[in-house]
Amino acid sequence: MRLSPRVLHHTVATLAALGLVMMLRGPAAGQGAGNPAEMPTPRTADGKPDLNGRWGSSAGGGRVQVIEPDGTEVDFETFAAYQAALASGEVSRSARILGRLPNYRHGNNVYAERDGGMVQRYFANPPLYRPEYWERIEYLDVNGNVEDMTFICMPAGVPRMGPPIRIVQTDSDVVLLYQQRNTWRVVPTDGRAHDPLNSEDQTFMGDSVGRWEGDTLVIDVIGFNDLTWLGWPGWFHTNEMRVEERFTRVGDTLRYDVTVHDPAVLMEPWVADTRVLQIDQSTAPYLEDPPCLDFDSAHMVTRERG
Amino acid sequence: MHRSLFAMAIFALGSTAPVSAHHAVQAQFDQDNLKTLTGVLTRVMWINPHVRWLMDVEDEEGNVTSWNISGAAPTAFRRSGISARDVFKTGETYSATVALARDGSNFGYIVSFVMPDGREMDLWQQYRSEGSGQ
Repeated sequence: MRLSPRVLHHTVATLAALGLVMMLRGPAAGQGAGNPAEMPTPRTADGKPDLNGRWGSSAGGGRVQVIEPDGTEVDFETFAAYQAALASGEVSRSARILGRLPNYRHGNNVYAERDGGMVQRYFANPPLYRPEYWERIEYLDVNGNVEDMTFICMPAGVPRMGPPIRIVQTDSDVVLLYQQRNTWRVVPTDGRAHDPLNSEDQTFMGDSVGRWEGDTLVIDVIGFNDLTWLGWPGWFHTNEMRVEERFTRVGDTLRYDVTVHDPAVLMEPWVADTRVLQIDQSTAPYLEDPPCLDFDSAHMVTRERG
Repeated sequence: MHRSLFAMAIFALGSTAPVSAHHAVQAQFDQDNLKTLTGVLTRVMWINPHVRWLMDVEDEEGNVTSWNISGAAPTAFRRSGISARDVFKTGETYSATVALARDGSNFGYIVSFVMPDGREMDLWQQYRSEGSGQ
């Protein structure tokens, strides 16, 4: 199965627009001077790679865009700036405010969601489930509106929630901050074993312990519930799952690798695609990601998401 | 080259798409069944996964019905420079064009607002007058 050039085009455009990810390898990656991966890797006083910082594109901010009747588009940094321009006559009252920047395909949610579903399902690196669970996966996939627990506002959990947006590192632990729902984790990095009590809890984030392997911080996580998924197309797991996260700073980039061990349902450990985040020097304020309240589930008239 | 672009694109989506718990809008709302509601904004809820407005709509007989209007995630509005209290003032009268809920409830997905002073705000690109190049 191949994506159409049109979908490919939109997908690549999405990548460009998001600007969230830096690739380390490949001919298109920035090479030579200015490549953040080729900057010196800073170290803390104890000689460990310095993981401190904002990672990826976590800053807030945005732009207000208005469109005059003749099609002229005018951008403002804030709504207040737009109001001032309105008061001074710089923009007209008949200019339409674009309250949501176009971020989906064809301007049509049906197509966008179908496309999104296809992209998710043809993800090139899915976890490989044992054959006796294939029907289960298919069921969960086509019943995502009622089976995906993130849709009723449960946390995405580790590892679906991805890498943190900020790391605070001390000589004995790391504090991982996530923008989604203002989630945080505090992980000891002194090489200790799992706490016998905490690791028997069944939680969304699991029980995490860290150790340094050379210049890589390795975090081992167990003690999960079985409510979260590994990904959108029904990729469930058991509460015997073990997740290994590896954080490696390379210059001004952070490499984030995840391996999921769940031999009861997986044929082999799932090695997720590496994510590479660039350091973010922004000093913009962090935004609260408001709580999630589900008003929608009761109104869904179909079970398949896209 | 295209292959690597494809890989990068999937990579980017894979790393961002699961983050927001976006519901299937089309499973809940019918974008071919629009209705324009005019009423008093009674509450603005800046919550995930969708911003929500509550509006009291009065019909010709004077009966007041409370409507629930859903929109994008707060972060999407943030990217567009739209904040809750700047733009949406409870107690004032707005017109909202919504895609109606398929289950017939007083629930809609926002397409556009007309603000109390008559300015218009588009929330769904498809309905911009110049079209979307479908």
